[in-house]
Amino acid sequence: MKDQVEPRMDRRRFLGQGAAAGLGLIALPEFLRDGSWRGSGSRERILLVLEFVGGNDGLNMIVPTERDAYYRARPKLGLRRGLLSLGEGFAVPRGMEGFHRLFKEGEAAVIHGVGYKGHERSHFRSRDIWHSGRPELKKPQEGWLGRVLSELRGFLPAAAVGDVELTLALRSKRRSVPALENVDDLRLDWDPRRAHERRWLQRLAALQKGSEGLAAEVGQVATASMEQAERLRKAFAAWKPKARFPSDRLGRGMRFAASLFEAPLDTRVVYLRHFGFDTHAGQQRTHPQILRSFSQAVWALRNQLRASGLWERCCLFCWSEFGRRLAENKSLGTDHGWAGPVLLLGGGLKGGFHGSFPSLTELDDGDPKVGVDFRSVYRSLLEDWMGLPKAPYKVKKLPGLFA
Amino acid sequence: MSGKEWMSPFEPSAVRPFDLAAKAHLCRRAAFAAPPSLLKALEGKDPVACARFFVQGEPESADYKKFAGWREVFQVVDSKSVVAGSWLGRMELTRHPLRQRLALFWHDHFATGARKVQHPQWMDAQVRAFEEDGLGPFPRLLARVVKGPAMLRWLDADENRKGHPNENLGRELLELFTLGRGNYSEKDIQEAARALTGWRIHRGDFSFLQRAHDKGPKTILGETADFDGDALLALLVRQPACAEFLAKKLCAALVGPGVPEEAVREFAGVLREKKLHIGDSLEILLASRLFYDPRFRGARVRSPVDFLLWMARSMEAYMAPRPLYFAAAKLGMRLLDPPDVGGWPKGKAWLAEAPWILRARLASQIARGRKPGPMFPDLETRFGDLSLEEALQELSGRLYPEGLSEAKRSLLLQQARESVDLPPKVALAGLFGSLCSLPEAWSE
Repeated sequence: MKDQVEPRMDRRRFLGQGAAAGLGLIALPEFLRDGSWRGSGSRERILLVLEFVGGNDGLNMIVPTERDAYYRARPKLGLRRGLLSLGEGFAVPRGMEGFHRLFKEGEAAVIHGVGYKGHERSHFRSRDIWHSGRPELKKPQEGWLGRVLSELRGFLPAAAVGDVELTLALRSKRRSVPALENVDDLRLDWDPRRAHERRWLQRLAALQKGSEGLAAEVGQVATASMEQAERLRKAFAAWKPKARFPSDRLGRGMRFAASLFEAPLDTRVVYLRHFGFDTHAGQQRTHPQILRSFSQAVWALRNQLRASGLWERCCLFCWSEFGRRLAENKSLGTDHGWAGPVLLLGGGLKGGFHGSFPSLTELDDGDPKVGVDFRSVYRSLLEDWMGLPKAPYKVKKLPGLFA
Repeated sequence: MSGKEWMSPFEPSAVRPFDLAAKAHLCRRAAFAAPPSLLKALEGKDPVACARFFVQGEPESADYKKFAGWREVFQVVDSKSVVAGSWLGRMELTRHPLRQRLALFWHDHFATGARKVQHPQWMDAQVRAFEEDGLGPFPRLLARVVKGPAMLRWLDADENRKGHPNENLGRELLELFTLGRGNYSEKDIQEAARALTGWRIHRGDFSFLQRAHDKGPKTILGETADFDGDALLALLVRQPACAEFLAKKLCAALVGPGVPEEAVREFAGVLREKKLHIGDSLEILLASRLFYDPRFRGARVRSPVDFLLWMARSMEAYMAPRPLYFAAAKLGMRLLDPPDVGGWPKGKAWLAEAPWILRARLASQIARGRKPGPMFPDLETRFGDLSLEEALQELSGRLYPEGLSEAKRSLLLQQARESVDLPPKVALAGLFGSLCSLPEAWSE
């Protein structure tokens, strides 16, 4: 694969090719012409990445109920009541019933103590490391998923949903994918007469010839986005969810993600973000709430993808830029830490616990230590799950994650 | 170039005249748009006088003063949409637009989120600090913002106590507000957090709680003293890295992407020379050879708020402020709630495709009188009596004063001619939408 010379292709150029199709210069695929729904999306394994933004307090998500050190360090925040046991001395808080059930059914895996060497307590630096998979780079430009985009085929191999800006994790030097905020925003009705509007779009496209610099880039994005929107809009018009998704931001995002996977768009990677994890203060109120929202959205996703037969081929990967310190602070919160758990969910997993839970008595600068390099998880996901060529990370794969 | 050349005043020549296009460039950067009245005000002025004109601003109008006192205008005061909306109203109507451009810059720089702060009045107080002190000495602005209740809450300062430091404020103060990453150590952050102990909010205002303050000596950035919060701020703004950090961000925001490093260094020198006085330094920057270098014309991508203000201020009209707030949010910029402490997306990040469609759609919706429109005065009242071709000339002259290419003009003309059978309002809206969906609309 690496010997094959691919023309350098950036976002603008990729989208620019699509633009021609939207203007009727290239015949549209049949399924788009008649708008009919046929298809269960990609036949290959799919990956849904969920970023817990802000630094998730893994210790209050996968609670070590048998460790005194946990309760000693967290006299106020330590969770004691209403826990749902996962076995092996761990439990999840109330509100995570959906996750708990998936875990009990062997469809959820917890990887303990994931992170990278060295403390990086800046959100941005830490996200750069996770997004790129390249801790050695000061200012990474390409994401760990962006790097493999050229290995994927089809119209829309990957997308970020619910965001205006494309995450670094999906950025690539060779191939580009969009950030789609909301499916309803893909409608184009800025002119009452379609014919009138289409003529203007054709004119805009014609103007691209001969323009250069930023104007050319904008123009290409503009015309291409029209075309892409049209294709996506038609593909979604016929999609009906079979599960009830929560109406909050994450629920809507999950719903959108499910529709992308199920639409005939060849989508294999979708990226989503869940917010509110930077719990420096008042954590006892907010943290359980966002975990509940997570669990409910996951439950809906599982029901939806079960119904469409995709759940066996789906892996949901949840991570956060760092865990939090063992000890609570005096504001009923926790500060930026180091290691944290990674969650995997899906029908084709080997559920249960992986990695070993870090010691809560031998800490590194107040933090439980990292036992699993995050890139081992990346390698397993890319190679074992997605079936992609060997990833260039100089760490071992984490074995036994998938059935 | 070497020495002070990037910051020396732009000297017009036959090849590079100080013409309408150059002045329109300055207007767009310093004032969001280049309407006829503004271009007229610059007539006969040289680049140095023009820069001074924008830094000093003109006395505000009665309409502006109405929005400045938002408590009287809106029934509901306890809502961030009212705070943000009235701010947008002031941005639309101000006769000192550079001040608002800088206020937006500082909002991005200090990136405080109302979601967490919860008190709209505190956010309002922070916006006032940006507006009132954003063009003044940076140390004064920094102290006012950092000691404001919004920031104290946003970064948990009132949770930071002797013996139990909470590093949030200390970290962002060094990383995001003054020095930038790489110019301090983890130890500096921990010591800075100690210096900031005792800062808290009392009755919606800053107060210093002596007994929560850690009085011991701290070593920060190589200096050892019994630093308190104010001494820490003074130490930070003394660092050469602070001027460098601000210079880089101001150049990116006002000049464009790709400013050469030596130009940034020169501007940092200006900032230091002016004791971090922002307005005085911008007077030099906005008249400089760097600023007028042709590579930066049209090189800055408009954020959603820039885009909305460009439409309103080009037309010398205004839209209802609260709908404007929701429109900007829809375009990906929910004022007062930046995505995280790093501020808003920058530059080409705004070119994602869904927002392109939204912007293009929004322009004609405004012109058709839908939210956040109509504009006051509305397009039909102003241009309904003109032929479509005349109207096109008028609209295009306001949005693109230096003119469009022949090719674009003729396509727009064709578009206008095909629209004659449409109701005037719809035809005008189509033209306005067409003009605002040109690639040129996306950058300034």
